[in-house]
Amino acid sequence: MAAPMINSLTANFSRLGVAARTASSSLQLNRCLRTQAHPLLFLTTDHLQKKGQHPHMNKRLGKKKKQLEKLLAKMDKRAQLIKAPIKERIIDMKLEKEAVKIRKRELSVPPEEREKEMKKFSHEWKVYCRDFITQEIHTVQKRLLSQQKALGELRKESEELYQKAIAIDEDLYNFSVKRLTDTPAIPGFQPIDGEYTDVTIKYD
Amino acid sequence: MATIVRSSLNIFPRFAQRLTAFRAYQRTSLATAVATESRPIDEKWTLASAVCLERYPKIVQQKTPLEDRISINLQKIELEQSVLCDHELKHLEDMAKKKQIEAESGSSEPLKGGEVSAGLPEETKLTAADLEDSWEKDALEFVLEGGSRETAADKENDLQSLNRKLDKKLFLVVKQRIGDYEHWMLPQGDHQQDESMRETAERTLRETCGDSIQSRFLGNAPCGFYREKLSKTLQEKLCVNGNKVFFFRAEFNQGSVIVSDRITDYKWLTVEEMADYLEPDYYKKCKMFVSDLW
Repeated sequence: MAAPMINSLTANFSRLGVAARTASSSLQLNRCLRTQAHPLLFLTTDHLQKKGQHPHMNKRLGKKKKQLEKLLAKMDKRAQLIKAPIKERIIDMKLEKEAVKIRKRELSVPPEEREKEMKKFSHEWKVYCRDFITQEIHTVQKRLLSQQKALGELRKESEELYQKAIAIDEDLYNFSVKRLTDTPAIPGFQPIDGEYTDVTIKYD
Repeated sequence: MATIVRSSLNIFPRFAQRLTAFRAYQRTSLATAVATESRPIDEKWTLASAVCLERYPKIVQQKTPLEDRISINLQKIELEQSVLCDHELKHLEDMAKKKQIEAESGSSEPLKGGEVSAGLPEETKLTAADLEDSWEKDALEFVLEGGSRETAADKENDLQSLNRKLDKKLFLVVKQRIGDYEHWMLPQGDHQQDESMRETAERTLRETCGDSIQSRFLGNAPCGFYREKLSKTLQEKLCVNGNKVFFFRAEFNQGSVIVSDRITDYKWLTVEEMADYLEPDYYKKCKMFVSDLW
């Protein structure tokens, strides 16, 4: 009894496309909705709603704007200042060459002879330098040896004194030595400023 | 220092051989020196510190004849490679004008400086040669004002003055009483308990030469060592073998020596002069760490 009733019901809904495929399987309803005929049966919107702007975002943008405005104001101020013009000098090569010609020095001794003279000295000079360096090295070695001997003797007497002797002296860290001059300093002498003309250009 | 050694090794191979040999010798001697030997029980030494107070040179040393020759030659080469400066050009111009005036006047006698300037236009009345003369005069006056290398102390040979031998290192040598005799030596004082050797040295300097001396001690470690042995009779009397003296180097800064009751005389001497005053054995030990180089 139930089957014919459902069949009659489904017939009524045929407009919706809800219908049994076969009468024999009338109980097994296939719920297939077709919306091709009238697509606007469902409530749909034409466009998606815009995302709401975050309040922090607004603050950040405002800050950027202010910064840019400040920069612009600064640039405006700078534009008002007068820039110092760049001075360019182009030297005429011809004139330069002529100047060198005028300023050429007459040699009292030809350069080849001067070289020969220097060669004569060079050997003597090398020997002198070598001796000087050896002397320096020997003094350093002698001092090291003397110090080590003294430390050894001190250690024999007392270990405590030895430990005190090899401790680091921190007062020596800012070690400085005065530079030597050719003549001794004149007491109470104050150097005078030399005469000079100020040639720096001033722009108002 | 290391760079100097390395560069010199490349230049002088024979020297390098000698240096390596010296180092080997040094290593063996160091090993014996540093090794802590067990001390014989009967030996007993008293300790003392001595100060090697140095006044560093104030002016550069004079050049040796070879250095002088080389520097003069290098200056000549430098001059020859340069171009004429404005002053030299002016001098050349002056000379040319002088010749011109001579030719115009027709006299064969050369004109004097004053007459040349009289003939020139008013702007260039001072010739380059005149300017040079005036500069030279100024320079000579400036040097005479007090900047000469030889001081009054050098001329009088005042050995107590600090103002002598400005180009060399000076060392403080004092006449101090040790036992019954007075000796020329570096200021020396006995070690006291609860005191490091360096503190002894600092105290010694204050006690012997007064408080006014300002100095800087170069490190805590002693730079040299000297052993004074007593005679046998004294050894038995005092039950001490002798005195071990440790030297400390110090740089003199300011002040002056005040003769105290511990010393009777003092002198500032160079390394060479020290040989005449110190005893030979003592001087030999001092030579190990005393030198004119630095």
